[in-house]
Amino acid sequence: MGNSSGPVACEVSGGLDSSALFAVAAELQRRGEWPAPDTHGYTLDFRGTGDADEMDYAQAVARHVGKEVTEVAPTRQALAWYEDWAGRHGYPAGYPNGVMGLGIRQEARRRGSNCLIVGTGGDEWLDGYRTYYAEAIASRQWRELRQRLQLDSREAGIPQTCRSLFRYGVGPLLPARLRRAIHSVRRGRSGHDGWLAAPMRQRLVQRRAIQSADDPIVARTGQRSQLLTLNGAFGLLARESEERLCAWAGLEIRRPFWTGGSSNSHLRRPSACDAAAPRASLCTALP
Amino acid sequence: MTALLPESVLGRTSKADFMVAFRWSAAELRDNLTEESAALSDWVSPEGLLKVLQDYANPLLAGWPDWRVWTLYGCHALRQTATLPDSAAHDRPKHKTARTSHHAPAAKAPYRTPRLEVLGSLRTATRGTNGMGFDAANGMTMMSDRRAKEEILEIGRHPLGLGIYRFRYKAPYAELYGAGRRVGVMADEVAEKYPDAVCRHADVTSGWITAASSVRTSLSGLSLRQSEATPPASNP
Repeated sequence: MGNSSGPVACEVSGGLDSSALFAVAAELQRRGEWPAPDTHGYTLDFRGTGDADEMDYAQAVARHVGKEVTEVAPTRQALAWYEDWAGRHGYPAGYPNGVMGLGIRQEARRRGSNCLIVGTGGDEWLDGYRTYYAEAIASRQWRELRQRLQLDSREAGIPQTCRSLFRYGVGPLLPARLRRAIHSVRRGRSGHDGWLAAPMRQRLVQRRAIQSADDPIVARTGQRSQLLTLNGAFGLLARESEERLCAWAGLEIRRPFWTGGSSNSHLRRPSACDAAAPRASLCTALP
Repeated sequence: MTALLPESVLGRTSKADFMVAFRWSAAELRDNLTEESAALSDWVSPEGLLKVLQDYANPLLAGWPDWRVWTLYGCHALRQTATLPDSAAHDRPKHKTARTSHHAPAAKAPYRTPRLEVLGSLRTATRGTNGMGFDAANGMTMMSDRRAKEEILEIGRHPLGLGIYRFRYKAPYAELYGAGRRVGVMADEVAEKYPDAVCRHADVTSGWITAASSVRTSLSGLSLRQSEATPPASNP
């Protein structure tokens, strides 16, 4: 992951995932085990924009690790740029929350990097799945289920935990046909597709029917959500857009959480886990 | 890990929200989509578009409306490109507001032939752009048979000895694998040099082949960047 002839650029948002990657890279470099001449950290400077401002965290990481994290202004492109991109590449540029990182890529390239490590995938794989309810029910681990419910009740409250129990515990274990029918009713009630024109709605129904017909046979319930994470159309589009933007700037994107090994290890996990478990495992697994 | 990161990050429970970026061009985007509503009518109903644009204008409703509006805009920009010939795509009239507010009309740059540059990696992109065959899912493949493609143009060579082509999928496959221009390899060439990297579809037409994701992964180190120049208007 760190092999490079130039300094390895790391996106350091200030969140746990990207910060951990940067910290590990810096630690390996300190020990002389990092297969690149240097590690450069970059963060987006969103100071003064409320919830987007993570500067305090990024600076805390920089101080703690003892390496500079370069602050880069978020890239704000005009609509015409998006149109030009689509015209030149035959592919959408992606969403503004991806394009805003273009400045980091260009700055990293300017400073001699040819690859960029990002923490995307951490949310998808490490945040945990509440399908642990379903897995506990399916394997009749009642004590485990009770403990989970107690923990979640304390955190989210009893009403929310009850809703989660039905949604993530009972729902996934229902027969596929019944599950689809419930989804269909819920979509209708929420008006989720109501803004679409009739032909598009019809097309969506057809596509969903194809997808439902391919309901994968899984070893444990939670794998169904994980397979959606891996192969869901939106995620693939987002990852591909991210990769194109990076390549356009002249960098190879490296996503440790999306490697085959990482994805496979999560898929092969014997049971689903909550959000705390991966953090705990990281604490013991990392140097 | 405990020693590697500061307590403030390890114990962090908040999550950054970047919806602010979706609102940077809000007024311009609303104008654009409102003007294009007729062209969008096969995708969204007029009432649906009006509602989603109203929601997008409401600062308290950041979230779904933003994703919808930007998705709609991205698809529309792409469709405009896909329905025009390649040469015209670069010269197509841009939205009036966008052009006047951000891009002053400039003299057209002289044409330069697009060229292949080795820059970064396009692992996902080189395996195709259809949402299948992600390289973490070992063994998944993409339709790479030359017979499924048209407008094939060799745009470069890879050190592995394979041609890199720009192409479009033919009608029945465009539906499956995506319309518009694509970049990738031709499975017959892969089969010749790396026979283990392809598989044959017995259930399609006899012998149609796909290139395995491993080949596409091995194309890492490659990326494409077309020259920034605009092609001449006289191009066919």
